[in-house]
Amino acid sequence: MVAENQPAAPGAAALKLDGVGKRYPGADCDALRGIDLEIRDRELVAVVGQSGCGKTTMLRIIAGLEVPDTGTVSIGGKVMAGPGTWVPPEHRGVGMVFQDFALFPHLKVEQNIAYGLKHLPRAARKERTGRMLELVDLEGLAGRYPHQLSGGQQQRVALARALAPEPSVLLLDEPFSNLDAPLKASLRDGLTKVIRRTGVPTLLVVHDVEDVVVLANRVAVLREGRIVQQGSPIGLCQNPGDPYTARFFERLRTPDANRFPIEAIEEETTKGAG
Amino acid sequence: MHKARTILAAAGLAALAACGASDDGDVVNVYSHRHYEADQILFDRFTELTGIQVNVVTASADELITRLENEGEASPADMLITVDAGRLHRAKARGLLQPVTSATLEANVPDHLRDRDGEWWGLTQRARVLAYHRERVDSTQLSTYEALAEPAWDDRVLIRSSENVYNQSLLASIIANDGEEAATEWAEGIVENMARQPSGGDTDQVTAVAAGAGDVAVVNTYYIARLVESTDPEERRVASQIGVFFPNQDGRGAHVNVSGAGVTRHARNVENAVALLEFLTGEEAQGIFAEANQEYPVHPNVPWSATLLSWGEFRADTLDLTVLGELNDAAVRIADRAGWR
Amino acid sequence: MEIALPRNWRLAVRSLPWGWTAVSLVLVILLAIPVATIPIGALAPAGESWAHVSETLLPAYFGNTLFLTLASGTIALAIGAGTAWLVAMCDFPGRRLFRWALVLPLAVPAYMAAYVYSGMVGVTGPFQRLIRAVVPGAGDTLFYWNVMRIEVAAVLFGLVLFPYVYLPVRALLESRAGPTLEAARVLGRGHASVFWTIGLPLARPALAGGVALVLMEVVNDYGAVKYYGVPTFTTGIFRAWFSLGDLDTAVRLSAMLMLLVLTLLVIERWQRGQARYVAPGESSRAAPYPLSGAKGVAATMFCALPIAFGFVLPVLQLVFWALRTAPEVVDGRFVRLAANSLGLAAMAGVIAVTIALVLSYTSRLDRTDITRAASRVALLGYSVPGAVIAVGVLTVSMFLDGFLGGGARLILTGTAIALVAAYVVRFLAVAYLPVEAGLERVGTNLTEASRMLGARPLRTLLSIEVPLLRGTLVAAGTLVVIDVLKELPLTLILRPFNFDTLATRAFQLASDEQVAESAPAALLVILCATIVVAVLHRTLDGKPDIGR
Repeated sequence: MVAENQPAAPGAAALKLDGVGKRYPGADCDALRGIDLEIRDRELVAVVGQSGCGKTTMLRIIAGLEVPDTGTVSIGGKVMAGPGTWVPPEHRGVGMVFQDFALFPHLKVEQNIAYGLKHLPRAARKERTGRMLELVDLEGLAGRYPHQLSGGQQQRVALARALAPEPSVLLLDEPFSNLDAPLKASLRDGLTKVIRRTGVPTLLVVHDVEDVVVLANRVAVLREGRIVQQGSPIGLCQNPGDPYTARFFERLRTPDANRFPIEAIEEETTKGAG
Repeated sequence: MHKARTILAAAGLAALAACGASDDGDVVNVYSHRHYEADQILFDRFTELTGIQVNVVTASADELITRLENEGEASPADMLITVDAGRLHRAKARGLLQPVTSATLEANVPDHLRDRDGEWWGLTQRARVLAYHRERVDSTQLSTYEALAEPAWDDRVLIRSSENVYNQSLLASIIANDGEEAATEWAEGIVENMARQPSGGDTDQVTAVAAGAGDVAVVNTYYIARLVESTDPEERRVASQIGVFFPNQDGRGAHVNVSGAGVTRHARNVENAVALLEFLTGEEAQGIFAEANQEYPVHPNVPWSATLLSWGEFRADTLDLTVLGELNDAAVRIADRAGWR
Repeated sequence: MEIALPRNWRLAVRSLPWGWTAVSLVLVILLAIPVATIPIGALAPAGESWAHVSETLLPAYFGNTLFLTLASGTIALAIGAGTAWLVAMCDFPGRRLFRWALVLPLAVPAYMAAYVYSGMVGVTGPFQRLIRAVVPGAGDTLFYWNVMRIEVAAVLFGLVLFPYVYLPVRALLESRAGPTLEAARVLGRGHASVFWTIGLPLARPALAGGVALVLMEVVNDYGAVKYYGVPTFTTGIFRAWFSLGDLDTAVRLSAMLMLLVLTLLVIERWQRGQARYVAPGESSRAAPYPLSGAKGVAATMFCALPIAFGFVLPVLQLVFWALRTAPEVVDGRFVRLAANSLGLAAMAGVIAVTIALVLSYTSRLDRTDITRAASRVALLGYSVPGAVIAVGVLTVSMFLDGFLGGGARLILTGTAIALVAAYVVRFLAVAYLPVEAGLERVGTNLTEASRMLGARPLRTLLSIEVPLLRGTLVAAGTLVVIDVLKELPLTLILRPFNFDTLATRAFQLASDEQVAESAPAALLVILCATIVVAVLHRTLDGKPDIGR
């Protein structure tokens, strides 16, 4: 059962990671070491870092697909994973968009979206599904099967499906990595619009600096299992704390950077915070 | 890799090179359906006495006959041994045997247990009798094979598959005695009365009776006798529950079949084969058949085993055994039509 | 600069010299002939004996075969899918052990399981002896437990064949299906709900393929059904040929059996084809459902019982019997028997792998529809029951003998050559699929580089592909060896005279009510099969399913 519309404890962060750590015995990826991260309502936080499994691991720990070795994960003030506590993924009320979308190939689009709505009566389910389809601009494709959709459409279905149960937190794992470059820009805008509309606190793993700048209120840089720097994209761009961050934001310093609406983001940030 | 494969291939070929009969030295090559240990003892004894090597190939009589037909003149076989007179007749009818004249053989084997043309000779006899559960059946209730098909025996009869030659020959003898129609009715009655679908061999039927699956089974005598004489106390326990009844004693007598042998038409070691035949029908070998295998010998002077003696003398059906072979096809069809698996 | 191309330039620009294609086509035709003689033979006007058989026996053959396939298919499906789900998607005590141990029942041929269980619970069997010795008051009771019935046969088939379902379903769940199943969990559905609504539908192609394999093995069996007295098409074929010398009836029954198998395959294709479930990339295992307490115990039992009944119990019983009878049974004859079996199997393996290599190599490089279709035809043999192939090869060899011998002389019929040829026809697919997959993995780059440097195809094959594929070739050959060692019906029909394999000897001894004496031969077969199954499973773990 999804923790739908459960009121968060007043003043609590939508999502809080406290000293979360994970070791993989004999793996070639970095373990997570003492991750501290907070996401508040209406915030969109991007996590960037070298390729490896740390970022995805973090998302999976939040979703409940992995068990952290140390630390606590709280959603809406309630502890989901920690010493002596474990809530399985079914009951966390987290929405997740997987890297490969993981759509159910044998179900139609509307069935995919309605999958997490079992607890609702039929009429309400239909209504919500319809609203979601509208939100992601896929009305009319409700009866199609995933293999009949383009990559971009599939991504939107995955998003609608994750948002339909009104989750407390939304997680996106490299949502653009399976798409062609020309598609990305329009999809990115679409994604931004949807997330801002619903206002769901979002954690987003990306590896492209443009994605960070367009989408995120805040950025966390993950390196060797730790968050080495957090802050607004502008802030990090101007004051990178280490060579990796500097290189990551390098492109923004080039003449091409003028293409990006940095001012617009700054405005949004001041507006949206709090 | 290449080397390994070549070696394997060579090994395979070498392994295949070794097979089958040979005919260098003093030998006799036997195709036999019998696969009892006693037979090997006898063959070894024969070699001891005469110095002739016996090469045996065992397979079902049907396979052997088909094989002989296909091999034709090239066949290495000198002698064919089967466990059923019907199959012997089939071999003769297909021209696979040759006539043998021997005073010794004629003395050893009574007239009615050998082919009138001398193409095959009986080695042992076996009767097909009723094995009944001592506690649940009174022997006065038993009389004939025909009576077993009556409703009184519904769900109480155990018998093996109709694909087995012993049943085919029994059915053939009933056709010969009662006619096809009556035989058909009999087969249908038996099928009705079966306590279970046929499965397993004769010994399985006997153990099933002992265990209470049915009340009476139709089996060959030596299977019962072997259980009685077994070194395994469990098997003896089974045998202790069983009584033996010879059917049709007021009529034609119990159905009797022979296990027999003949010299093949294209045999290369005819003299050796005849010598082996004479040995197998001689008193020493017959005695071993009787004691070790619990079969009834053909030789008139050789005594029965203790167990067989304990069952007493009985009237045996004197039907010409050739008939069993002639009516085999009809028997198979009747069994199929009656649904006798 | 314009180049004038001849009109049929595509033909002219061939990747492979004609010789290869020709050889391949010849091979395929040779392989297909035995199978093709069956439908052809069935078209000839029927004899009188066929009329008799079709009236009296055919309904039973059909009914029993149908029942067996449906029942064992269902059982294998339930066990295979259930255990695959538990092992792939859950955590419970013993999971790691069961993950590989669940393949073991494949090493036990169905007919061996049949007579082992029959002997085990029989009146004079160890089980009853134990009860009589131990249970007070039961000292003299003889229990009648009739296991020799069709229902038990169906259960036994399910128990030893379910790994054919287990393996592909597990592979699918552990890789491609992972993220999709996780998505279902994150969306809030419970364990059972995820299994029924997502897991099973996703696994449908694997289920279809696995069950098809099970059904083909059931239809192919002779030993188990014969021993239990169940008349089926296969026993009918044997009876027609052996008891009555009636090749015509045997051919007709074979044709009907082939039709049945074809129907099964069509249904399987249909079930598989419906799925466009091609997820990109490989993924790793989904987050497992932890099962503890009563649920954990239940899961452990659900996995342990099939292994116990499908492998451990039969093997233990055979070991006990073997210990008792080995001193008398294992002698020079036995060793020769084992050598025969292994030699035969090795030859079949070598030939099958060679042909598989030639065919798949040609098919990859030539890329015309003809060679592609031809290789598919070559694989047909695996779908055809062993008895049917034997009848086909018999027909061909007797026909050829008629030509060559001119009279009743036997040149080919009943020789080891015919037998090995039949094995190759039957088991080529077992070698072909791994070899083909291996060639895929090697890719075309190296081949093309070699060709560009001037090496002709044969040299390329021998110096590039073969060394790279060494492991795969050995594995493929070993798979064929194991299948040949276990094989019964085809061997019974075609074996040269006075020639036994471990399998046929074991079966005959068991049929002669000498079950304990059959144990050493049976154990040897199972031992070889177990080693291969366990070892190959560990090395090929995760790679495309074996044997299909």
